[in-house]
Amino acid sequence: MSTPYSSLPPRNYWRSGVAEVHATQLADFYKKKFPIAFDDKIVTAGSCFAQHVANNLKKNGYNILVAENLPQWLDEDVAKQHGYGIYSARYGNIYTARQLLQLLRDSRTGTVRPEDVWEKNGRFYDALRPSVEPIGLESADEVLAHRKNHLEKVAQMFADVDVFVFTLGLTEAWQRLDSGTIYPTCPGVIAGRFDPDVFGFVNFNVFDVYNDMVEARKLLLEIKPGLRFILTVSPVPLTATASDDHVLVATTRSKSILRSVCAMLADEFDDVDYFPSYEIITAPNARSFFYDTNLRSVTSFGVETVMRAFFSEHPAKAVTDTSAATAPALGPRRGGGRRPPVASKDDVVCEEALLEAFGQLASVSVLSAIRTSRQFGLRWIPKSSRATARISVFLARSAIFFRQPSFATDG
Amino acid sequence: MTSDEPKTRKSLRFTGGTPFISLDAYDVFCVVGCRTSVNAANLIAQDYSSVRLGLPGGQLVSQELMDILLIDRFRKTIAGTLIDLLAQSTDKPIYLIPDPLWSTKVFEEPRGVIMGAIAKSTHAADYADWVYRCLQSAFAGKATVMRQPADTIENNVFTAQTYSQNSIGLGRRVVEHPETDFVHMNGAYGARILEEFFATVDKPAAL
Repeated sequence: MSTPYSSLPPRNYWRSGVAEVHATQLADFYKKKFPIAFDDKIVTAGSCFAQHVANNLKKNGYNILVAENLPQWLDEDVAKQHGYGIYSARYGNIYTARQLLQLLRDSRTGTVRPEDVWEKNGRFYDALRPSVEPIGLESADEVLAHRKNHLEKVAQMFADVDVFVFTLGLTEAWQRLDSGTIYPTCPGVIAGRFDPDVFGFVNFNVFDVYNDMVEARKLLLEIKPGLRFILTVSPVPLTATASDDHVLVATTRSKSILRSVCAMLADEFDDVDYFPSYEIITAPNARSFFYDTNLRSVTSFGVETVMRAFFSEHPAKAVTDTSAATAPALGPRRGGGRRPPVASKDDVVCEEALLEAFGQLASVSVLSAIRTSRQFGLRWIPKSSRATARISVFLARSAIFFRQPSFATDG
Repeated sequence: MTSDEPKTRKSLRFTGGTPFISLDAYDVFCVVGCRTSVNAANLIAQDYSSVRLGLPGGQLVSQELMDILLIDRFRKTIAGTLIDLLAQSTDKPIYLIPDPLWSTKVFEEPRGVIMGAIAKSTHAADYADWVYRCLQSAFAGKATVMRQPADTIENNVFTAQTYSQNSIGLGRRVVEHPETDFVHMNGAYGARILEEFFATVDKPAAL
């Protein structure tokens, strides 16, 4: 007897579609909803993983709109450290849908808020993109002037865009309790001071994210009618969760919500496409193959595999930068061997990874010291543990100060 | 040491007598150039501004980035490259005599708009200092940067106009620069710089 399942292709069955297929060989995996022309102006934004998407689109001949840049003769690393050349504008990572909506609203109205200036060691930072000035600015007024200038550029950029590629990263965020302003980092991590009376933790649910994305889409379409959207979900797990859940549970919650919203939006709107990068990296047949040893950072091989799937539907232009555009020979890895390296040249800039420093401190030193003292009924931390704790504090501070982006891609 | 650029080789022959620089033949190397004002602030200010500069339009960048841009610009000039090569090849003292700040005559040019804005900005008070500081950073450990004598500078931004009157080009043929030329300086400026240079080389090099 014939059923709707009788004539389905192999891709529709788990065994033939996934279990018996190598992670790099997923076939017929993504079908574009609309084409992207090489002269379409593309704006990219989102969590750290979005940087990989932006880099690869650029290298493969797509027209990435650049609203804020530095002269080409300046060293690329210097530009990157200052938030240039990462996305279309210098907004840094946009981890949550609410943060995106907030940027759109602010850019539309030119709104800058003095309370969004954070201080550290006499230098001043834009709390809404704290990593773009590594040593901060000279005064709070200068930060506000910079933000105003940035918002003008963002507004001009969105008036000109044809395709908006956005990677949803997190549902967890920190907000200012009185205004509801959402920040990309917890106060105190890069700058500012954490005050529980001023700032609070928020974990958006599926309705929040959906409503924010719908509102963001509406605003963008008002600015640029005919705009098309490509959504992705970052496959990078949370560095840390501020919720009561285990970080794995929190990650699953977060990613499930983001993935659900993408499905809802792609189902509802013809101008919204979903590109399944999340699925490629996290697929069970990959057996975490695309993650680095920390099981968070996506390897360059993983990124290339993702982008290959993207370019199978949106073909790459003839490129000159072969090192960047050529995907490695694919196929099952024989005999094990080392994992492919994490993206190096295209290291991403990621504030969330800074939480790792606190994690190292907490898990290795302080907590072990506390546990040790509890275990032995001690009320003080043993000298040896105190020494370890001090070293870890130093390491944590170093990590924050230098902001090494090589830690990982996040969210 | 020589250049792979025919024009530069020709220029070396003209200025040094040979198409190459003999590292053994000299005790001190003096590099003149770096196009201080042409390539630096003005070029940067066409697209970028800082809060202190307060120029309309363009992207606002931090003072730190303005410094980085200027330092990088200096390093990438021909003079910068030459200093790098010399520093790699010899331990003998190297001096940089930077090109002069533009003359106030620049106001007769379209580019005068930007320089005028710089002159009116809060940055003006230490503009010449800023240029000098960035030159020093660009060549720290490689060359001693000569500072443009204070008495040749007007309003901390320009070279006094008297030093750009009747300037001549000392190429193969001596050519009089146009009256509106704001980049080249005259013999009086050259004499003043030489005086300063010899006063400096008499002192121990402070790298």
